[in-house]
Amino acid sequence: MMVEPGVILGFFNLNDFLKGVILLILVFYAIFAFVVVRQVDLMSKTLITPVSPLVKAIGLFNFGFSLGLIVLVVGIL
Amino acid sequence: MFPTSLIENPTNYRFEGQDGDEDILLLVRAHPITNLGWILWAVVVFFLPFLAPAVVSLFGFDLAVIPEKYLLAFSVIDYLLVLVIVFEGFLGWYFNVSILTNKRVLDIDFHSTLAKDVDIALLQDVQEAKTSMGGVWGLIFNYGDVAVQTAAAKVEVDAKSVPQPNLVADRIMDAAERVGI
Repeated sequence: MMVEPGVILGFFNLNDFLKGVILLILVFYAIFAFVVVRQVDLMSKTLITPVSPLVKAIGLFNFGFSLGLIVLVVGIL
Repeated sequence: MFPTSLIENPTNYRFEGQDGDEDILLLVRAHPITNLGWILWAVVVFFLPFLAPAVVSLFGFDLAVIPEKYLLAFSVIDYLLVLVIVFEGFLGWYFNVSILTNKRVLDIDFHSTLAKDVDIALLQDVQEAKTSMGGVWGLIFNYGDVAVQTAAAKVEVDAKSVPQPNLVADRIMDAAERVGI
């Protein structure tokens, strides 16, 4: 009987398991990135500084990047 | 330019609730050397993907059984972690500030991701400003804590690990004297 690569003990697929773990981590990361966006917003309202727009942009980019990674992982892995 | 820890009469900083006739005389945040802890963590996590194959081989596991694209995904997650450490470390340092204005002393603290704590003491209520320096790093880099005491029993405003704590305390007392303590 042919066994697919990554299949262990006939039923446990290592690749699917790893994909699930990676997706779970990325979903948690996306949630965290959203919280960071809110955190940066709160901080920037409390203390208005020259770097506030840049920090906000980095926070938003980070959140967008985390969502993009989820899409990428679903598509590629 | 990298932001500094002690800024006198900053013109491009404002804070929530600042009055129209209120000027910032001094803005302090923790000494840059206090960032060393998270910077070292970021460096260690950055190099994890390079060290991982050697470490797991010690336990008799070979990473070659895992497809390369999954290893790449784990490397990306690792670098996301580096990004989080650096970004959160910077935010925590940059936005935790103590401010002396011509009316009051403020201490703005962000304890966790979404928790904000602002302590305010009016200059006319300030009784004394105490400094404390300790530890090898504090003595080498000249930083310490400044506690502003008001008529209330507890310390109202507490600035941690600020550079030149004696100068900061002196500025606070000078400003308090000007408003007539």
